[in-house]
Amino acid sequence: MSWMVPESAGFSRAPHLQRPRKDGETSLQPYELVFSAVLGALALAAAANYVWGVMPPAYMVSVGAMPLGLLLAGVILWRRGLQQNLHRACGTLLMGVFWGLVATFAYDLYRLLVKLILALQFDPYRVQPIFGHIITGLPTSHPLALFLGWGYHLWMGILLGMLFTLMRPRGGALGGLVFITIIQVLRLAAYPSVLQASWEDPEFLANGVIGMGLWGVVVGTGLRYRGWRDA
Amino acid sequence: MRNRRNHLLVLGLLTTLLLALPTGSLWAHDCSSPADCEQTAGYNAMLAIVGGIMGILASLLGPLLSGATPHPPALPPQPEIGPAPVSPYPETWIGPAQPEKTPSQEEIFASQGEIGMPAENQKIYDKLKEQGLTDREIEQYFKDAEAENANLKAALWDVTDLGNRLDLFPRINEGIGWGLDYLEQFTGGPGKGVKIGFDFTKGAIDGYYQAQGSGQPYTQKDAIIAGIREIIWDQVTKPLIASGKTDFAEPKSLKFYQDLIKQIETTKSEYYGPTASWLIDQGYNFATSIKDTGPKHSPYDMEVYENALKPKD
Repeated sequence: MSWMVPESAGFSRAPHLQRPRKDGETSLQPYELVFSAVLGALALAAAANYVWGVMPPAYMVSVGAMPLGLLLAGVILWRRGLQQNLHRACGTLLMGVFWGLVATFAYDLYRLLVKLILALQFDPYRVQPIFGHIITGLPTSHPLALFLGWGYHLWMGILLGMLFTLMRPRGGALGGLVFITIIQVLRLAAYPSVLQASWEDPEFLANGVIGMGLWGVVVGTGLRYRGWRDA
Repeated sequence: MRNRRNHLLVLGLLTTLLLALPTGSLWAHDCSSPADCEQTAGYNAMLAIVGGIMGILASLLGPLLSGATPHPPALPPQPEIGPAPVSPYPETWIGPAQPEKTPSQEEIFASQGEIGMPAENQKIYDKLKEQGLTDREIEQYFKDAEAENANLKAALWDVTDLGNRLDLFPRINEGIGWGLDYLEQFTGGPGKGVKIGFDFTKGAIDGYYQAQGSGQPYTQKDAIIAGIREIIWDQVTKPLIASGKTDFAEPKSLKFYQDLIKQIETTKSEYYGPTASWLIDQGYNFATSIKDTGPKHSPYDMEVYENALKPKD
């Protein structure tokens, strides 16, 4: 079986076509190095978990897969001398990281406020300890479980922010809303327990619809007005 | 460029849908019960994989991440407009000889090879022209774009070549099959439908490469037969083998599969050394273990969950 791309398709090894590197674009910026190191650390943490088997595989994949893919993408760009593209990619993704984090904080704050204002009966931060318990096997009240549970929650916000940025670098409130709505609609279509969700359920309406919509609008708006712009 | 960004968006959504729709219970970022929380990581894992794939696609498809529209090279500083200078030459003088002829629009496009469709080039040309660029600058713009495209194609070639050297593609192919098998456990009928569709596609593609390798022609009919054969192999023969039933003729596809594995096993050390071989084996075993164990519950105490879910106030 040959999966080789035929020469006739126009693909050829072309080192002589590499664009000559210009001054100032041969090295990574410090913040890009830090970003790469963090991604590498996450990928390594996932790999280490594979060896020692602390957290379930699905958690491991959700922590390690995207950093691994992004690092591979960075290596591809670097190896081909496309440093400008690499700088753009880093800048854009870091904007996704930033706005994903901001939106997640906004979402968490919103959950608290909506509970207080509407006097709803739910614990706004109940999932983080559970995440921590599953990841570490420690009791939900254990500091390490709480720390890693919250870390996982924030990482998912960051991951979604980067994912949205990859799909729509210029953002936009509507784009963010559509993005998160698609995520939610697919969830409703496929997730059995959520199928029982009702529009009359105030928690579902407040968090699953309005709260997540808020997340999308914050990310989209942030990227539109304070996103990465090519020089 | 905007079209290519839109293509990436569509690719991303399609990838999400492809991975998401058959996953059934693997949804929810925000879980509402212990069982949900157990499953939510599967959903998150799917999103993480989509993100990783998107990053690689973006790096291969070009400078899509900046969100910038194609920007032309900076214009040279324009002289301030003032009163027209009085010419010292008579009106009949045609000026000094031009050192170089400015290329025409047709000449620019003729030198571009495969930048894109002529109509697309025409649009870019018009846009750049509107921005006040000279034909010389536009020619440079297209040349830069061509060099960049060549670089990206070379990068794609490199990735493909690396995949060939490491025998990654057959394993990725297998991995997708395992993933769909795994997801089928959650979804039942719809997941099975997706898996059958995948089997057909896989069979047809495998058949194409086999025909290409042996120099045989490959018709639409051959593709359909190869696809159906793969469905029968995956949906009928393999379960029979798994259940211990072996008193039937060994299908050809099984022999092909066994030969392929044997070839990989015997040649992999020659290609990429013991370390990479070990790493690939680890990945292979890991994927196998996930597939074999099926959905697994982490060791937790339901009582702990229930207590955690109780409102604190």
